[in-house]
Amino acid sequence: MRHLGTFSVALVLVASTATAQEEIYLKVTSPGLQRIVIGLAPFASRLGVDPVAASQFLNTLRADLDQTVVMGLLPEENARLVEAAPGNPGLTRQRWRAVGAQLLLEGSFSGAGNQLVVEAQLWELTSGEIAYSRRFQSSTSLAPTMAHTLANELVRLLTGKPGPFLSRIAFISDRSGAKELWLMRWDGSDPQQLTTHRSIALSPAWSPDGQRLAFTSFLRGQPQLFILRPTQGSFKPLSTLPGVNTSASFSPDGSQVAFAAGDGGSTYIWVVSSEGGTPVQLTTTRGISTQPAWSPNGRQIVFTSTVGGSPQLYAIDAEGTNLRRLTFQDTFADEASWAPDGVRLAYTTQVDGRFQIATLDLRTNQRTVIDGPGNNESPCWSPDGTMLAFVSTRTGRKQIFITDPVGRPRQITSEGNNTQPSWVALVQ
Amino acid sequence: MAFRTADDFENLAEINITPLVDVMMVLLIIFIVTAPMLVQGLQVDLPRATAAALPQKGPEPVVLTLTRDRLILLGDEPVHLKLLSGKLAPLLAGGPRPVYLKGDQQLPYGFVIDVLSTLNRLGVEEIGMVTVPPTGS
Repeated sequence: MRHLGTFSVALVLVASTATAQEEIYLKVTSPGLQRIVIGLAPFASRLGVDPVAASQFLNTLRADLDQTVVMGLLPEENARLVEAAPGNPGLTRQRWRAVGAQLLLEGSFSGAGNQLVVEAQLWELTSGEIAYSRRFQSSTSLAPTMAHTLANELVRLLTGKPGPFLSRIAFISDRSGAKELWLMRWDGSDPQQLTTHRSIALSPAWSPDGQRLAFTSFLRGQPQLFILRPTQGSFKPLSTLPGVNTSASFSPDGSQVAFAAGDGGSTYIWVVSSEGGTPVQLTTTRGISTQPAWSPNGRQIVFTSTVGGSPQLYAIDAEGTNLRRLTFQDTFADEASWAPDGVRLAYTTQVDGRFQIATLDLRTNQRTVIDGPGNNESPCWSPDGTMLAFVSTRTGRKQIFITDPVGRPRQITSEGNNTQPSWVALVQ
Repeated sequence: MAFRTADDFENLAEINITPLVDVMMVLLIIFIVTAPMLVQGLQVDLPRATAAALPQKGPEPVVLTLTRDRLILLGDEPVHLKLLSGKLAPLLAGGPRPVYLKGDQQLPYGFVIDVLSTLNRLGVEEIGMVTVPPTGS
């Protein structure tokens, strides 16, 4: 009894320190590492440049640069202190450095009519050298896309991976009355409805190249798997096995799709060519096996199974061998999502009767549970692995949140119920 | 009244030295023998004067370089005048430390005063004005 008493006191202490912590989902930067400060010099503009497109470009670029994990925009009050030295660009750049900028983006607009030409140079101010230089030309209507492309390349320069600015999130929303498939920009802007089936759409999953979207629909009565090419509008069935066909996940090369299907009491993991064909059954254990997630190197598939009683995460090699259990500390584990590094998983766990997001490092087996308000579920990594999208009920209905550069949650949907995010780098 | 009174003239003639004397500041003139200093291609011509050599004892001085273009460099890091206090304060927090100014000889007097008054507000009590020896000496 005494032992138990001490134990519960210790638990209470742990719990109270845990709630005092800030709700940080991803520690993407190591402690003490600060974001690189980038200054945005005023862009020169030639006569004839469409002023609306030019200001759209700059506003988009400014917003993007301030939302990255690796860099932050120099505060406006510091930028205002910089006095340009006419005829002495070197001195002007040193003045940017003197107000705290480490990098300086200089640029100019030219082009006339419906064409916009942007020339941009990034200066590394400590060495005084040009780190990046590029000329963009496009129609004025694509000014925001040009800005996103430039911001992506600047992030790639610093991290080796492109930024998230052209990435999109597919999700399920009931804002039009029925559960339909929707698409939005990574920050929640520009939502587009992809299906108008007036049925139930579920569990969207992108092909890695951003051309195809697999999802489940009750369009024909039974839940069947379909493939949609959003840019072409083509739509065809992928798996129509008896019973349920659900939770698709593309292989990293896009050639195959893993999914869950079954009739009666059990569902199994199956694999089918993404062009269609006869599905091959991968697992044979009784109970519910569902939510497959193909690893980034293509060698294994993580899925949820109730074979041991409660839902837990298991892994199996893509050939159907070497089945093993991954989670042991959870009473519930579901909806695994692989980080692009192939080392970490994010998944849904249950703590004190509420769903919460957890991450599992497969090298160290370290499990981290994030204690957020409400129910938090359906985690999905950003294509570059620096952010997570997930669904939370903290503001009432189910809404999609993404993590900000510090790893804190930020709500990006508000209309209707919005669930099951699937994030892709570029829709083609 | 189109005429100025004698009082007005007295006010004009008064030199406002209060900002610099409210703390006992010791101004040293120090010379260093160095090659012309180059920071990022920014040349600083130090004034030439006969002066005492750099003292070798005491706490390590903070060196501020002031270029002809009125750029302030803390070490080799440019710092805007308005951000200087914030950058210097942590360096001076550990106790009194002298500050050496390596200012270009063509700098406007007003700019040097701006820097000095910033140092004064930070409680710097010892300021060295760095020079190079006159040619031929």
